[in-house]
Amino acid sequence: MPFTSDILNYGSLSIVGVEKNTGKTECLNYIIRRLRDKGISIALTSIGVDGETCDQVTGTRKPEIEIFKPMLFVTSESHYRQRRFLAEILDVSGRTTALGRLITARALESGKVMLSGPSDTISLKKLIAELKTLGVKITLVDGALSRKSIGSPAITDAMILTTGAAWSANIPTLVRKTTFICDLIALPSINPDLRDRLLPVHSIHSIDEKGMVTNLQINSLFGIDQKEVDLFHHGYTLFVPGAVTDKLLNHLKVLKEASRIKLIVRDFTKIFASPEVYTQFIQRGGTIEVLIKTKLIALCINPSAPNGTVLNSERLREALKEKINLPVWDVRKLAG
Amino acid sequence: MFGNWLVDQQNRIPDMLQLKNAIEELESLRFIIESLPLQSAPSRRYVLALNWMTEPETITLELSQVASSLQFLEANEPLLSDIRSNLAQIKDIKGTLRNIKTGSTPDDIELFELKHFWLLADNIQYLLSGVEIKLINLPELEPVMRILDPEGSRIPTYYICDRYDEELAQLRKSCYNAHQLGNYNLEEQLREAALQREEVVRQHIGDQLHANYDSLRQAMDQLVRLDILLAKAILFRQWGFTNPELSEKEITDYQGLFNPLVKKSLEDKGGHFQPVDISFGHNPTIITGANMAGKTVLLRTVALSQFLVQFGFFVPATKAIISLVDHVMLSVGDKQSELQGLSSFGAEMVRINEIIQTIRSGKRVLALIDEPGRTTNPTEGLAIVKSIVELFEAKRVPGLITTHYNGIDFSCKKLRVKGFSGVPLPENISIRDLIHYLDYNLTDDTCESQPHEALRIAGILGVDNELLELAHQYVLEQERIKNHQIKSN
Repeated sequence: MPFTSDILNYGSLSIVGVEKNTGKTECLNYIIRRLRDKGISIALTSIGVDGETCDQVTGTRKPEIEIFKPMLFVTSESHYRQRRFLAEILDVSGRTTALGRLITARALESGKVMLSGPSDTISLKKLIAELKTLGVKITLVDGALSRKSIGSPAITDAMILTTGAAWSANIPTLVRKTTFICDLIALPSINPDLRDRLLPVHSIHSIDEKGMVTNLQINSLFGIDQKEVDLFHHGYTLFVPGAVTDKLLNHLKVLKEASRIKLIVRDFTKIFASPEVYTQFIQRGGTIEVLIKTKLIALCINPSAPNGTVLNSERLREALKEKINLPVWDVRKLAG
Repeated sequence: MFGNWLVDQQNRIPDMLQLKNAIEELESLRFIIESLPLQSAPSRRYVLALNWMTEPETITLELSQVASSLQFLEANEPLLSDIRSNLAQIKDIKGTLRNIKTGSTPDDIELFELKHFWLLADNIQYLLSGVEIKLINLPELEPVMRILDPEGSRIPTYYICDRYDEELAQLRKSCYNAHQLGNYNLEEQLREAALQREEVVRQHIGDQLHANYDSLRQAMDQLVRLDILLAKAILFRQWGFTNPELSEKEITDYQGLFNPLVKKSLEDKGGHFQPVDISFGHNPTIITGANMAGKTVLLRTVALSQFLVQFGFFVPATKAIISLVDHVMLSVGDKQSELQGLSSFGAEMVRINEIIQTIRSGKRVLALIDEPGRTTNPTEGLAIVKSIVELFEAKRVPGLITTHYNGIDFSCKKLRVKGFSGVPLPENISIRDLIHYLDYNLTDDTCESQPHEALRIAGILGVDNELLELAHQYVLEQERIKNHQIKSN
């Protein structure tokens, strides 16, 4: 069976879709079934309210993720009450989400549930640690790539990315866009000492050659091209806690110091720049590193899109495998 | 405008006081409350709602409980961390308790909370079972335990298990069988029936819990009480607080009185707090002394101790006898009123008026007034001090009034902070070291002459030499005139 034995090496795994309808749910359900068959103790949660829908507003969407006995799952009070299968509450957390407190429960029979987990990265990390103390071998996280979310799936040990025709109906374009995301996930992480010092930092800081961290006293790099700010007084390494945008990279890549600039970002989800601008910045010699890094272990593709587009699964797989040295699986072939 | 102010302020005369109001008035009281090592989530809410007590019997009872808690600490040190870690897991389930009280059907989350709580109560009861000193009185836990844990598993997880109801168990079994046989229509029907039956069971559980509401409430109140008692005992032992005696002769007498907040901030800077002894009755006492001699701190500390004892706490002293009052009222420069647009003089007068009106309403007031009239001209300022003293004497008000005004011919008790008197200061002493040369002890004031230490302190602070020299000349001149007047009389 594909990629499940690899999964067992990790304590937490996020499944992240680059777009809706790229087969995230099918992929997740597949992994859950395989792990169940192996008798592995698993827990399931998500980042915030299911990242890719706004069903907390309409409340109409049906729960999709299958839960089996004796899996653990974590969701909000409000979603917990909506479930129709028998489950045993193990913990009621002090942490609250928009939908109430988080409930940790064990399924006593199978059923489906809406997931809503911690909305920020630190809470998610704590939750994963707590689940481990309840005997959980691996925590699966329904993740999302969202500008709005303050929680990042990068906090999990490993990640599976789902992509497909819903993102682009053109194979070369889809491969290029997907490869870009994979490149970002593969960005190197900084040394642990500096990481621990920067994790609690929320404003732009400069790091000199000796590792001294200096607050640059600017809140945002938005409109940096208009400002007379000496960004590099203390060195060419900058920690940017917020979003890295085209505007920022366009500004930096034309500076004469461009080749010496190193940006440190929280994790790959904070890079919102387009592939073109990002590539230009890198080609000019700039580098980017992350505080929190996850390991991408596989890609999952959905060649069908809701608008009727169906791509050639084999060609897409081959094209991706050529660019990205990782297993690539067709979600439709996992379903069975 | 000013007249209106005074009318408005009539309504500010305090009546029923809770601790949460008192900590707004006195920072050092807030410091103590925030330092209480409380464990359970609802404890803080309970502490802030503590009522001001004026009956000697209730205060004595509470203080004796605190004293028992200290004995409990000494005798049961090994148990303490177990008890406290159980207390720390108690969550604030007031919402759930309210729903049980009104008789609404609890959901699984509320039932989980109750079971979790009840198991903690059970643990703590077990831990206390061999202990001689009885600090709290828990209800019988078994009836509620049977409702929340019908299987007797004693595991802190919750769901509506089959044991609750034979019919529910049957429906679930049939539903499972239908699922195994692949009969999904039947499964869905049976599932719906099982869910409905579950709700009936929950209602039944809710009714049973409702009938046991008093036990639930009592258990929560008692466990929070245990937490508060232990927190008090731990804090008082650590900080060296004492169990005060309640005075029957309208005398308040502190030995080794200290202010924990000021003490801590001094010790953080490498200094130490010098405790003081002070005694006063139901009449005014005038306190004089140099600047920086700690007169304001003394007033705040006396206020603090009075608040503490009448909220059921020990006091920061080595020995204390305290006369109870109805209100503690402090006037030490009220920033709030000044912000509301009154001058410092205006704000002070409004506050003093509040104090006097409260006294007139027949209440026993401990009045602590810091340098009344200091912001106006000396003639009227002195007149204000004298009038306050006279009024307090007539009304037999226990009051401490600090002042810098000289040579007042008061008939009342007069104390002076010793300050620098008699201690030779080394040359070039720094302001940091100055406090080491200050004697904060109080002595009976003979009223012969006021210590002239203001200029000396200003000098140590590094104030301009010419200014000080001029000021010194004026002091000498005034003394010459005074002596001349005495001679010619």
